[in-house]
Amino acid sequence: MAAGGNDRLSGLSDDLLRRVLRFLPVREGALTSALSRRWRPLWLSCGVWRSGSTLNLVGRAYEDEDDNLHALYSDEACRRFYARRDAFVSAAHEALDAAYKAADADGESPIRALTICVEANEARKIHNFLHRDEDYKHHDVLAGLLSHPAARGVEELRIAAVDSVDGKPMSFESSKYEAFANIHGLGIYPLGLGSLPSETLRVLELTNCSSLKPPAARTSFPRLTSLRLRHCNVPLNELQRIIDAAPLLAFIHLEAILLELDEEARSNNTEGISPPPPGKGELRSLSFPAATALMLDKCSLKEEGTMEIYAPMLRHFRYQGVVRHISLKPPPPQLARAELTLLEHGYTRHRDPHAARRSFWETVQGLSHAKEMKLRVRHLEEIGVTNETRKAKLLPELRSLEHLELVGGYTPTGKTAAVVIANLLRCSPSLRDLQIKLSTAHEDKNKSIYYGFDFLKRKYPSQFEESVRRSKRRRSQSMVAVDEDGGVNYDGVSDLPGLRGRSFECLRRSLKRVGLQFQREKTNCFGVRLIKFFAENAKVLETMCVDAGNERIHEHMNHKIEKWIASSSERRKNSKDATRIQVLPLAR
Amino acid sequence: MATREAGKKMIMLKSPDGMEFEVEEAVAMESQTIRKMIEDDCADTAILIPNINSKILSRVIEYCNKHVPTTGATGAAASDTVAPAALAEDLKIWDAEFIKVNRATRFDLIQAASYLNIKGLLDLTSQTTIDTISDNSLEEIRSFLSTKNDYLPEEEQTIRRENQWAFQ
Repeated sequence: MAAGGNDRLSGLSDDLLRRVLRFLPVREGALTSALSRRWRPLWLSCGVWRSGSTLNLVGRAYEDEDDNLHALYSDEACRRFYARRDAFVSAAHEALDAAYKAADADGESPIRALTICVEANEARKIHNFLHRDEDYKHHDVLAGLLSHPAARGVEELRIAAVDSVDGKPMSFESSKYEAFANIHGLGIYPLGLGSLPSETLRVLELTNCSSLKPPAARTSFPRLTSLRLRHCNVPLNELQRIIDAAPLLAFIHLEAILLELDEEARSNNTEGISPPPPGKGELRSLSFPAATALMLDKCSLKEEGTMEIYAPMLRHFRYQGVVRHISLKPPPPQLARAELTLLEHGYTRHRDPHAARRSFWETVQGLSHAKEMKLRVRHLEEIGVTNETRKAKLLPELRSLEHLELVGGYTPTGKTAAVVIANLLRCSPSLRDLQIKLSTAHEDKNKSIYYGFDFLKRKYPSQFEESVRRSKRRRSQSMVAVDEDGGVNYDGVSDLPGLRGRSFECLRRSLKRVGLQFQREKTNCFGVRLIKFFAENAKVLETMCVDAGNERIHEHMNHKIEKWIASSSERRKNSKDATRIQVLPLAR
Repeated sequence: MATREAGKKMIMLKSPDGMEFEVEEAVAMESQTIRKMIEDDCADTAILIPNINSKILSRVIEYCNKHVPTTGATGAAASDTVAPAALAEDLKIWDAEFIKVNRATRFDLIQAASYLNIKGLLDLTSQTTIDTISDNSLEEIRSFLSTKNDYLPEEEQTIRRENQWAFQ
């Protein structure tokens, strides 16, 4: 910013421009969008914008991010608040009128995709923006907009009450826990589904809405194929009614939905919602007869009992939440991809680890036809099954599984990580590609995996150089049994207790590709022993990708692995290509 | 800048063109950026303000001096006796005078207010900028903003048609 520099507003950065544009009345905002391409996205993020049959209405229910709720109580601020709201509403109606007239005049289609988004730094402001007048009378802004004749044929409808500003993530989006009752901003906007253009809707997305009750049992969504609900309050039975009213519903994404209140939440709940307490082992069910994709992310459900899901057409399934028994029954025969992510509990209470392990594996049983699976757990200890009778009872057969990714923390001194890997290898006779990403339990996950490496390089430059030099020398020598100056000795790598002497069908026949990511702490660490295990036991292995938090490990390891393979006599007999395993750095 | 009465902590602000401004800590802390530096103990006796030349920095300090609560340049005696509404009115008039600057200076002030994180000044400069374009037609706004119209003619036609309500 030089003296007497740029006198052009467009010389400001996008962020600063957006800040300046906040002061722009709605009408001029739409004008600036006609200025140039750069102005268009800026304006799209705030205001009223129509493009063809798409109409975006974005209302801001706040003046700036610092003003607080008290702003609503001062007369002057209150007047400004509702003046801003009224300007937004009249601009929205003008845009709808214009679309309607245009459709009348030259046969142009009226609005087919409508987005209504109201942003504020506090939920209460959104509520007042949409529901109140200055004299505190009831006023339904959305019903007014949705009943406009230009909006009657809407096929894609997105309604969001956004309690964060400038595109920052809402609290539920950044939360690592499941949704819970009384969480900030949940269901800010009470919406009657009866007010929606239900006959024509194909896509419906609602964020922070509640009370989605259809007013009459007859409301139906004959064309609805995609439903996305985010941070809404929708009791199980109401969700089922919506699904039943939409026979073509194929894509369902539920994120942070309050489906059931857990016991804890119920006792803390002050608003008097009190469904009867659940019986032990109670079975509940949801039925998605036409669903091909179902995503349950961080939804609130009871932990006890079984949630039975009937979804025979399912091809993609994702579950993110605490461990509980989700039973896909019958297991969807065409399941292509399944993802399970186990989250931490939002509040603490005693939980039976055996029951949790059982719930996990029973849930996996419902995914038995999956071709591709991703399991993300906090600690591998959570899911390992050691007892032989339990294994026979719990471990499902995943006949179709070809790709498996396992992500989780482990305790370096424990044996369970190997047990879990053995469990999974036993389950998956056709496995072709196995990716394992391990982190040391309790380590700071936010730190980049480069952190330690860079830190060492910075802090101990001489040792770092020495390590590189050593590694070069090691490569030039054919084999060093014991490095005289205390260096790395892979010959001392021991077998893994949980895996030793095991033979699995996939290792003999199908496993071609293994990826391992771990933090290499010492020579005999778990990751290195895993490399050894796969190198020696996977008979048809073609590629091994290794990321040990050290960019050079695959070079260190290459000839070691060759040796491990060579020492496996059976391999030498069966195949002369056996030593041709490629060791590559794992793409991060 | 003159040294103020004893007992008040002073901070030295330096512009990249070598000028030094001695200001009360309270005045400097109108800037959230500087406040953070002071609170985090990152500030020595002198703080270099990069990117903001002495001409703009002196205007910013003038603004902060006026807007620092109660003990500022409004006069120590006045704050207790004058009603807050009257003070606010006085500030409004002062602001209106303050922002009577050419466009280039105003944009420099916007960037300075953004970098130093002075909300009041950012609001004032933004609002003034918007006020000056509100009554103009599209062509005038376009030339005012010196924005190159990079739409194809037919594209612009469509945009104008679809947002006709705003052009009337």
